[in-house]
Amino acid sequence: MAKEIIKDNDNLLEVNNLNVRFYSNGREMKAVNGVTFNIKKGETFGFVGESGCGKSTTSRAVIRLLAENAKVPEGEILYNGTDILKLSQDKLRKIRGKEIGMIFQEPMTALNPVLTIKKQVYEQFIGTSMTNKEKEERAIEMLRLVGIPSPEKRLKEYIHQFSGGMRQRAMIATTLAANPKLLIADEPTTALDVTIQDQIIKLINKIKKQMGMSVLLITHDLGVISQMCDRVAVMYAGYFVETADTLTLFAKPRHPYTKGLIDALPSTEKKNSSLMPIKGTTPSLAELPKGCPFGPRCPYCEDKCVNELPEMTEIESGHMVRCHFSYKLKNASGLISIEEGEQ
Amino acid sequence: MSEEAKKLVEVKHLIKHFPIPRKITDVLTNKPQKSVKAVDDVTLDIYSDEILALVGESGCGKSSFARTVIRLYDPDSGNIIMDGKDITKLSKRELRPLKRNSQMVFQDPYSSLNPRMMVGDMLKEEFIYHNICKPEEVDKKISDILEKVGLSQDAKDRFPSEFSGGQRQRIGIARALAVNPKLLIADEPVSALDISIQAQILNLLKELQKEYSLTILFISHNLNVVYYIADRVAVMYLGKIVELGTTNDIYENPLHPYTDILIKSSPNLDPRKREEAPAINGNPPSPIDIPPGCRFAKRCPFAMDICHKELPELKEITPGHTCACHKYS
Ligand SMILES: Nc1ncnc2c1ncn2[C@@H]1O[C@H](COP(=O)(O)OP(=O)(O)OP(=O)(O)O)[C@@H](O)[C@H]1O
Ligand SMILES: Nc1ncnc2c1ncn2[C@@H]1O[C@H](COP(=O)(O)OP(=O)(O)OP(=O)(O)O)[C@@H](O)[C@H]1O
Ligand code: SF4
Ligand SMILES: [Mg+2]
Ligand SMILES: [Mg+2]
Repeated sequence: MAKEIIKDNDNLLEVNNLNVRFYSNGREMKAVNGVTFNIKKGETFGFVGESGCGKSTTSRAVIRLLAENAKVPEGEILYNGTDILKLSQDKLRKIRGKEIGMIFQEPMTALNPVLTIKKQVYEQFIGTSMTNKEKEERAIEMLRLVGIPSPEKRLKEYIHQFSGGMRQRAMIATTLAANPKLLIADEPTTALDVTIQDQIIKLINKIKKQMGMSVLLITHDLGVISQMCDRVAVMYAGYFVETADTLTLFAKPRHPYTKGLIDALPSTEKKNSSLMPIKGTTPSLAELPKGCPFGPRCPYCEDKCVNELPEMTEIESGHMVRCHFSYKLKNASGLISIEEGEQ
Repeated sequence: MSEEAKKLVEVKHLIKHFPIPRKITDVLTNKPQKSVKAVDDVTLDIYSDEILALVGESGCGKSSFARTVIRLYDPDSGNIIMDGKDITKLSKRELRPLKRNSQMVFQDPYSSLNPRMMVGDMLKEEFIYHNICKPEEVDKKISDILEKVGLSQDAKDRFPSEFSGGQRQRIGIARALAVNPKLLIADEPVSALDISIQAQILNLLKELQKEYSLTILFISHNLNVVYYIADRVAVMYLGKIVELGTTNDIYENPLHPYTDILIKSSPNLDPRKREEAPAINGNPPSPIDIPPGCRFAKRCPFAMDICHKELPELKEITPGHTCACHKYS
């Protein structure tokens, strides 16, 4: 079944068995371990997990923007059928920015402070045959699309003249000007206020629909996942531990870590009960346990878990879990409840 | 909150403005001195034993308010009455013995602890500086406080860098609680933490509040967290309180249009409930050039003529539930 999904030619991106290692101070850190997923055309796929679990590293590996001390010993990243890991720098540059756009958490570091917004949007058109007039029209159209008022005027301004929410919009506008088919958004709203976050979420959702774009969304916020993603992968210590469509994951979590996150989350139903924190701390990526990475913190852990790394297993169509005992969570409650047959 | 609930802190018409440094050309041309109106006439009571949450968007003045209340900043005008005593005009020296009454825990557990001091020494310093106990009792006190916040005894001999984020936040809480404060101000204490660690800290604060009848002013912009922890909620917008009520009142029956929008903007945890349009467009105006009238008028879907002209007063709409909005006059 899993294999069939992977061959589906609706896939814009297919990542197979991706591994990333970091080397520092003579230690090898296993930051990404055997990650496999695909993103269909027009789909929003989310990575969720706590700090340091490898979300950014995985997404940066997809466009080969990893730090110098990183290696990818194994894996395949097929973008429209072409393996990105095997591309020449030249061809890679053509895909990066043009085909695959990326928005980062902190727009100040990604946008150039000494160039006007206009210049930065124009950079996206290098290599096209657009005339200056067409470029200007397109730039204005992009700023308008992301909700920046009087775009003709704002185009001539510098990034420091924009507020936080405006900067994130400007960043989205420059990224989208090239009309990418895949947008990678790494914590695009984390630094923003709730009302601005809400605006950016709705904006990306709208543009995605209009342009038929695919989105890879990275966040640690289950609320943001809920409002944006079609499917989700939960990451823990560099591993995918559970993937499902968003509704299923929220209603019927089947991995003990996903369930742990849900039980720890303050939500309106829990006003008068204690939250249930996940005990213990995340393992060091330099010394991952040989069995299940979540084993040391897992309430269901048994000998088998200590000795044997569980495989990603499809428990229901489209719902994959990496746990020897996921059947024990068959009747576990989620963040929300769904009726039989709903989905 | 019952009528006879005791007021631990009474804040009356508190104002704290930060003057903006003028360019020399502005001084020469006699341009008026401008200032950031961070806290602009706030009147608010904090009751004993309650957890009062202060919510609002970045820059609305939450931290400035908290810091002024405990006199880390000097107020421009207004009164702060702490436990029956007016502390507005006390000098640094007069304040010192009162300092232990109100303690603060900060957002960033990394930068708010001295990295070169072992946890035990840090706590010892607090006990001695504030004359909490006899020197021979200090060790016992340290053990007690570590236990209270759920840290193991060996924490004494370790440096802050040797702890995880959640443990460091516990150290910050231990230091604040060491002096038996009446008021604990927690300024975004969980914003920098992961979900699983956040849960530990929220549980801890709730337990401590119950067990030691602490009063907590909890500052946050995360409405789910606030709903979970708070007894009452104050909503702040551009230096002013626009609504105040019990947590239930605020979430079930928000009166101010801004509160309503704030709640609707928080991402819903149910993926079936997705809206296409944002709850509100535009950004909050600058706290420097504040237009007359209601500060929210420019963005408010209900704004009437009067809203652009006259500042609405905070009024009690139902018992214990106050709101500053012309809709209710
Ligand atoms: N250049 C590097 N050298 C060594 N280790 C690194 C490097 N970059 C990242 N790491 C480590 O790899 C792990 C994964 O990091 P990554 O940035 O992908 O996490 P993340 O899930 O995006 O976390 P966050 O939510 O905090 O952004 C972390 O433990 C991190 O410390
Ligand atoms: N020491 C200071 N000097 C000058 N201006 C200040 C100072 N502290 C705060 N301000 C300004 O006062 C306003 C209110 O800031 P404050 O830090 O109180 O907001 P906040 O509500 O705590 O925001 P956040 O959620 O971002 O922490 C802001 O415009 C800020 O820039
Ligand atoms: S494999 Fe074992 S230790 Fe790992 S999550 Fe499942 S039950 Fe827990
Ligand atoms: Mg990251
Ligand atoms: Mg603040």
